[in-house]
Amino acid sequence: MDIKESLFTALTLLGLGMAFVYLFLGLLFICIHLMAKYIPADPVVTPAKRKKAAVPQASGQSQVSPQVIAAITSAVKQYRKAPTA
Amino acid sequence: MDTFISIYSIIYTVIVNLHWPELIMIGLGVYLLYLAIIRKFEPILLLPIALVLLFANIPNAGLKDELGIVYLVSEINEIIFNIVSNVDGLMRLWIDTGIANFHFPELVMIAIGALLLYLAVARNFEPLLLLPIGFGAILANIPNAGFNDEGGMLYYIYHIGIETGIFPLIIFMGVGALTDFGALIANPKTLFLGAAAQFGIFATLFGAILLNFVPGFEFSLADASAIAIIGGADGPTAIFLASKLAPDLLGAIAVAAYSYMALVPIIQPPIMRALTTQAEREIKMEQLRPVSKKEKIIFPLAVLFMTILFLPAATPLVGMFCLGNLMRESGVVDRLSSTAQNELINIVTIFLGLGVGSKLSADKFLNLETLGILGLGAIAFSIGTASGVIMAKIMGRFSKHPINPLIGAAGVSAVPMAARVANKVGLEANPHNFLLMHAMGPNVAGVLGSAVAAGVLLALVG
Repeated sequence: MDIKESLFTALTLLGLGMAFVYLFLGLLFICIHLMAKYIPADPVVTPAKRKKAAVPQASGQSQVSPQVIAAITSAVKQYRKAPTA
Repeated sequence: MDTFISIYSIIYTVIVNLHWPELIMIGLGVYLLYLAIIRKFEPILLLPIALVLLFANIPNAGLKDELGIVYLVSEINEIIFNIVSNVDGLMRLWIDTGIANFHFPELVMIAIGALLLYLAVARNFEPLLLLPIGFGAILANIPNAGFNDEGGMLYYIYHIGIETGIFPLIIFMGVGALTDFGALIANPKTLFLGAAAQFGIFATLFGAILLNFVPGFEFSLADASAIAIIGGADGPTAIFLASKLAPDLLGAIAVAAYSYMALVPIIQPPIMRALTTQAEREIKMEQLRPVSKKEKIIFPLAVLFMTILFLPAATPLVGMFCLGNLMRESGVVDRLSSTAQNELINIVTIFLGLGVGSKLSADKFLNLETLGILGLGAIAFSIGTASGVIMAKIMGRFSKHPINPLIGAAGVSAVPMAARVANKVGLEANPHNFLLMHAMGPNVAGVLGSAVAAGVLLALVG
């Protein structure tokens, strides 16, 4: 009987609801922007130090390793092949 | 000579009387003996069975004849059975069996429970929830077990945890503790994608009322709101809202919500492909900026503060969510955070599933409205996905930074499945384009968006 009435209510809910969701998340958008503006970024010192420390080590190892690794892998392969073959 | 003849005649009578069926049975007995003694297969049971089998089939031994021992044992068995069957108690036992009490609707519901179990176990569809829900559905429909009657286990689980809204809220706290808002804070524009995807909810609300024109459907505004929240693709939110607005429809709504969340990888990609061009899907997005720890700590507090100011009706959901997130990001209560995202959420998930399953009773589930709910849920999901993608396309037009419209589809929450789907479809277009982190922004924005939408519905309809 009053389906049309409730349809109208649903339509207003549709408009009102979407408007409110946009408004709310829009305000949150502004909040995040303000946060990004006024909150200083984390000091990036510690990870940078670690990186610097880690990089030369890794590169130093990798300079030695390819031949050694190749030798070891071939030796392992030969050893594994020997009993089966 | 006499003895020879008598021995011969004995052997002769045995051989003459041995027919092949008996020989086979003796062979079987010997085989069982072998299994029992040599192979040690259930010797306690197999040994006596094998011996009786041997005895019973020896010709002329008369063990099976009247007064033979095998005959006597079977006779005693029969007497005991007769005595038992003459007693009234047996009849009563029969009346209490499941077989005597099954009605067709309950059988259908048990079959639906079994189907949910199958989907969970064999197809891996949201198993964490569908498994307890399916089992709960089976338990709730067992005749005479009284799980759902006052005093039954499921009755209490439902009334303590779901009717009060406590279980979905605790789960929401766990989800908050599991959520990393980093991607959202780094690219706050994605909030609008999460907002756009909520259009699915409100459009479905309209659709549910529209369905009232079809004879057989009578959805009130509260019912329609509870159904529409399926489009939010957020299980706890859907259960929370349904328990407040339309408890009778809760079972169908929860099952629809979780089923469609499991079907996200099937429902979303065709819509995403239809609405975007190959070039759009290939768009690469800029790397996200690092987000400071302070921002991550203040964010949940800011969300809570805004909810308190503008939408107190959503504070149960948003508040618990923010509590979980603050526990995670503050870094000072790792024990609580880890409990919220592991043990607590797991325990509550078991009970939530059982409680939802208890609502899958035949009288409340097997009707036309359930079909309507399932249909509306699919529509809600599709509209949400589509509006997220379209919004992303519009924003991409005006934005300085490129936006891949695929991430808009992740605006329906379904964390993290929807983000993964966006990533997958993006990879299909361009194998070097990883959208996962970018899609997490709209994904978690969708969680907030659907909580806000639920708050709006609670405030205006409830």
